[in-house]
Amino acid sequence: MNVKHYHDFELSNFLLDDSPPANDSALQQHLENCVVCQQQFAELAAAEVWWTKAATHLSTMEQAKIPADIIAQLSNSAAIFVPSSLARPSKPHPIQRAALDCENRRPSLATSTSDTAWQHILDPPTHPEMLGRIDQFEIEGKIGSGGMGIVLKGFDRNLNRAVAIKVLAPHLASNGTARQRFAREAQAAAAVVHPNVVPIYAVKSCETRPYIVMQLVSGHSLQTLVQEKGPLNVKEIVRIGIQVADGLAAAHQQGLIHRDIKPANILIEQDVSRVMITDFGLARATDDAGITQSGWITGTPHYMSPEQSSVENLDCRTDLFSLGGLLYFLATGREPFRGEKPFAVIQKIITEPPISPRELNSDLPAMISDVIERLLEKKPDDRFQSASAVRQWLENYLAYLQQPMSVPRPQRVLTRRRRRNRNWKLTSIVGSAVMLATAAIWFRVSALNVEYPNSASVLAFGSNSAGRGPESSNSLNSGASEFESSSAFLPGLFEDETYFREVEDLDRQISNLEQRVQESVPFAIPNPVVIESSDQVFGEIQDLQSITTRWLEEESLEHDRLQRLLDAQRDQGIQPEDDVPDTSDGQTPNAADFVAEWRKPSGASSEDPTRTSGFE
Amino acid sequence: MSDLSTTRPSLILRLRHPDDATAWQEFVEIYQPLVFRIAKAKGLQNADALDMTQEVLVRVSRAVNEWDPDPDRGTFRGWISQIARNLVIDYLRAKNNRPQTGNDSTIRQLIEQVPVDCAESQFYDLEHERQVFLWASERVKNQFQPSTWEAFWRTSVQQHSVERVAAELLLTPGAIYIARSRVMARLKQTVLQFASSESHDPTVASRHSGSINRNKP
Repeated sequence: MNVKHYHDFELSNFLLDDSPPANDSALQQHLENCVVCQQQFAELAAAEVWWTKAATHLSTMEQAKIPADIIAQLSNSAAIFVPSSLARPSKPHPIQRAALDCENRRPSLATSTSDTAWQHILDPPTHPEMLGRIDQFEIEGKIGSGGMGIVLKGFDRNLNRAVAIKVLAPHLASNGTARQRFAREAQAAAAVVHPNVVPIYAVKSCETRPYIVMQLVSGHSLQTLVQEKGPLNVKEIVRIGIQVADGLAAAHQQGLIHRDIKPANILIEQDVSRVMITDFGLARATDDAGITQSGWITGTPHYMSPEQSSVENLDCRTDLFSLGGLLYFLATGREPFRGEKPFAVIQKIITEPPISPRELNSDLPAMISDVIERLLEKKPDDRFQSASAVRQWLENYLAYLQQPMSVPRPQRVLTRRRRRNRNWKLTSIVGSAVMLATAAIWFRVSALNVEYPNSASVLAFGSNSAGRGPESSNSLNSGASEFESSSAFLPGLFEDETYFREVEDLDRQISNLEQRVQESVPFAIPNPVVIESSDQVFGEIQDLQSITTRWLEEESLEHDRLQRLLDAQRDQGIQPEDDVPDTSDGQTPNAADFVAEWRKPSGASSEDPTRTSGFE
Repeated sequence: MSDLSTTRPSLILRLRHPDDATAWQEFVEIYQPLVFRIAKAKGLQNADALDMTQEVLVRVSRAVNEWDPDPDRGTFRGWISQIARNLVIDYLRAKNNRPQTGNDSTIRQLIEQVPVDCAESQFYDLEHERQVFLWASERVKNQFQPSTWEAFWRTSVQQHSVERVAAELLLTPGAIYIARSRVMARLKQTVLQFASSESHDPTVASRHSGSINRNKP
């Protein structure tokens, strides 16, 4: 019997060795005979309790086994949970996407849809004059191609009518999510029945060749129309605007957002001035396909709304921005935001107001120009709030254009620019009024004070100093009453005006902008695809930064001006005095405190319920 | 299904960090069968058990929104496994008609709940341990020659004698001894690694995560 035992460290080394057991012959032989080393070796691998646990747990493996069909169901739902972060490249930011879209303008399509390449998707035709066949549709030829795929002219044998068939591009068809969304959006769009929306006859979402069958509209897109004929006249613009807004309203009512309103997606029937919107919601389908394969998606960023480049959850007002862009194009023959590179375009969409369309087309009535500018407001809240509101306004205007003598001119739309001008005028008027009034009150109150010391503040516009409790009304001296009456007076005036709102508004805008800059910069820089594309991108980022900075500066200057004005008024209207009555913490109250105090429901601060103010 | 579709984007958004995404995938790998098995053990039909599994995962995935990658609060795995544990124990208690810690507890409550100690929690912990062993064995199995794995499996799990297994596998008994211990060492290491990654104590996690590639006694 061999009494020599292995050392622990030697045994441990054997544990780690992955080589086939045949190489361990010496140890093997030893272990066969040496119970001590057997145990030691096992102990070094894992303590006794581990061996027991492994035995008990793993012996239930057979019972624990989950049936294959359940596993399939579980992993299906796991796919929902785990998905894309691992499975596919992360979704590009819309800015990046649109930018790349433009730069690589449809390289993949150029190859896949070059004149005949697409024909392999067709089945052999049943009629010799036809190019091919897709199910029951005989294909006569290609109408066009776009980011989504190609549009074919077909003939439905069963129903005996000509149709347009949009076949999803192969790189999209191979992406399950894109394919599903394509079908889902098309189905949703098929539910919109409206004379200004191209009807969808059928949706087929098979894996190899998903397609949509639509009414064949013979005519042009507005893009071609304007390119050929130049800017349209006012009545044409208004008529088209009404129809597009009407179609959009019908879709919005069903919760469907188009997302890609642009001249190329509006078809105008030949010899009739009816226009029809096509490609509802389809832009969304392409969102699911990775940028690298798709090359060209929404095609042009020119009509994209600012929120489309930053917000995930869009509402129907994004379409209204694009509608504004569309009308701008009809009126001027050019896009509202232009830039050599898509980045520049998007940067302008986000930061710059468009050149007023009227500056480009002096024939354009100011009223229409204003409508367009209003639609192109950066903030959705500043635009028209619904497509039907746009339609309503345009209809009224068209009626006026046609019968100016009997129909009243609709009210002119306020653009932000004009609104601000008006507010400034208003503010300065209000400002001077306040100063005058304050001066007058001072005078009067001091005078009153001498004669009727106890009722002074009640007289002064019934502020709820009346409910302020016994000691404050008792202690009314001239200083206090001056203070109270004037501070009660200030908010009363401002509350109905835009003053405070304007200040808040500017604050909000600045912080929005800061946020947007923060959001857009990280997306712009780190992606290697973008950086590789050219040095110009860097230039553009710098441009973007400088423009944003300038914009920020302007805004903050304006903000400062407002603040100064407010301060000036506060200084003039309110001179805080040492003997001002009682705030609880003993600090000198300022105007804001009084505004807050004044706005409180009178019961909240009043100790004497019989004396609540009747002013509210 | 609406739950699922709303969960998705936020999850994608939250799991930007590749480590977290991997952690989530592993979590699903382990917890789906775990929850399903627990549900079955408690007498649910397949369909109901699937639903329960689904619901637990949906609720946990919602919690992902609240995940705050603060090193002091432990790992992402620790966080989600804690939530899953509390959720399942809540379900079990509800099923046993026992006072719940709150079936509708908010995520915050779920995570802040003191780990309960009761029949249900013991049952859960045992099932959890079993699941981790099962999961780890699947992994380890693939890292060894089939005969090495079999040597471990037949002697340790099926409790056959070393001589018999040696004869079956045409190996010497000594080779069987070596093989089974190697597998055991690797199994232990895999289980420990997972357990420490789930540990709520961040120091434990960091101590184990990098270093136990090899089991140094």
